[in-house]
Amino acid sequence: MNQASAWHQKGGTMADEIELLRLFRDEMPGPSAGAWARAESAIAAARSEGSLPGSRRRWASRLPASHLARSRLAVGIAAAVAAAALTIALLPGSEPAGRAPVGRGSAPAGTGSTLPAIESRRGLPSAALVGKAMLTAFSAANDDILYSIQTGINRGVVVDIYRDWSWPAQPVTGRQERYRSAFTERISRTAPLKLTEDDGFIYLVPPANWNYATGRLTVVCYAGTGQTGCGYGDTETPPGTWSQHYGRFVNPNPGLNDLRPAALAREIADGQWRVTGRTHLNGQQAIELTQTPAGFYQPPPTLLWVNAHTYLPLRMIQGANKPESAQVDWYFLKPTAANLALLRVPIPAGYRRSGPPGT
Amino acid sequence: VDRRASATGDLGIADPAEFEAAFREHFAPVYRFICRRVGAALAEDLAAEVFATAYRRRASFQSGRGSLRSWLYGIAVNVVRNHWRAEQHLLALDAQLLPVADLADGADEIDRRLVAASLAPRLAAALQMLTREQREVLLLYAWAELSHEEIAAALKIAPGTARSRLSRARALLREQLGHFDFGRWTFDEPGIGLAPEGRDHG
Repeated sequence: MNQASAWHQKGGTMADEIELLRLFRDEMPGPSAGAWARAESAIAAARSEGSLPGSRRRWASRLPASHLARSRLAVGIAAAVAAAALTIALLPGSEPAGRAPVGRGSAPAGTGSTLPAIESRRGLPSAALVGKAMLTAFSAANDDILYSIQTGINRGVVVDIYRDWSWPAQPVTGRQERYRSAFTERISRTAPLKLTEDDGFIYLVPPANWNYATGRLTVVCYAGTGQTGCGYGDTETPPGTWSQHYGRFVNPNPGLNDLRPAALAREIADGQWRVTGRTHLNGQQAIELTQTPAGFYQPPPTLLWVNAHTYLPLRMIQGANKPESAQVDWYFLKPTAANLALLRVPIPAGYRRSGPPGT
Repeated sequence: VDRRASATGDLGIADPAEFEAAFREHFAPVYRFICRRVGAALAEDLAAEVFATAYRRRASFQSGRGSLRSWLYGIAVNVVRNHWRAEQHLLALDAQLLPVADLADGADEIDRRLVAASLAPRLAAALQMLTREQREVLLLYAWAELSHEEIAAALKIAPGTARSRLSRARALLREQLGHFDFGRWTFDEPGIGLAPEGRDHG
């Protein structure tokens, strides 16, 4: 009598081939002490690299997803700056200027942004005061379009860019929100940056902390990018096609509590940021804040610049001076017809529709 | 995925302490998943690679897009994918093994591990015949015990695709197993040597 039949006759059960596979798996011993040590060593090595976490697709650096969501509470800068930002091409194959790892002082020509030099450390407002002023500024700009550009930089090379539009800037539970996210990436260090995926989502803002929202999703998946497909949530869109879906999808703004203007201001007031100087950024007088070790965004240093007059945030850089860093620039757009048109996802000529039938 | 219901990790692993907790919770099952697929000789290095990669990419984990488990297994699948030949070789070796000798009929000692060992060659041969995509879905379901939705998140495919791919893989596995009768614990065809004495094999 063989083991299987004997075990069966003893009352052992095996329902199907999945159970059989699990028996096969269960004979495998767990990791030895050496395996644990090997893994711990590999993680320690990764930690010592001082790198930021990579992108959602490849090795690019980017801020934590929650950072992106939280950033949407931050609104606005001057219209002139916003208009300048909109001149950035959003065409397949377009390539915004690369940015070198940030450092104080002047950047080499063509390498983009640097950390602005501190001009003064005298007469700085308290962090509590800055936080309070930011709250007021946010409230005044809630109904405008928030446009953010999130750039991942790896050892001097821009590796991915997320351009996001949200309107209204501050999602309100129970109200309609329009959201668009255009993702550009470079699939290798020598490849050009290419617009890869463009998603638009019109949805009803769910209650705080809900992970899903119901609405209409449009996805354009660009061809020739090196990606085998695009997906927002559970959808699949092959390259060179576009799709449209109705239903429940990933909430682009989960954790509404974190999105409240009070959140960032509270962090500042709670001692998670300290005011470190005055400077100029994009021609505007700015207050620089540095995150303390207790702050949310890791690894340090993470810096934030706030307009010294409007108290609206201008820029945040995570991992400043690290081999990998990520930068977010915030722009605030008035909801004019031209600006609202930016929330629409353009369908490239010649792209066929894919996705579920009947939608 | 309900972030509030997650045990560990799913609220985020960006913080080193959170990552450490996730590592403690998930390393052993991920290691066993890899070990079963490519063998112990490679598993230590690959499992370490999975968690080092996870550490580097930890901020890209988005709990709204799937569980932490599915995210980690997605990395593991990618790592193992680079060792397809090693996996095929291991399965080929397993398929050539003789079933372990029967124990005496005082079968109290017979346990699940022995049953698995006795069926292993046939199962390895069957797995060897599946395509990479079919095998990945099947083993994520059977060994990693991921749901359809988690498999979809791990492999970045639609849940419907995961479901249909799994269904097809299961059907093929059954076919490759030679119609093992789970009700009677026998193979239909002769020569397999797993049927109880005096039944089916004349």
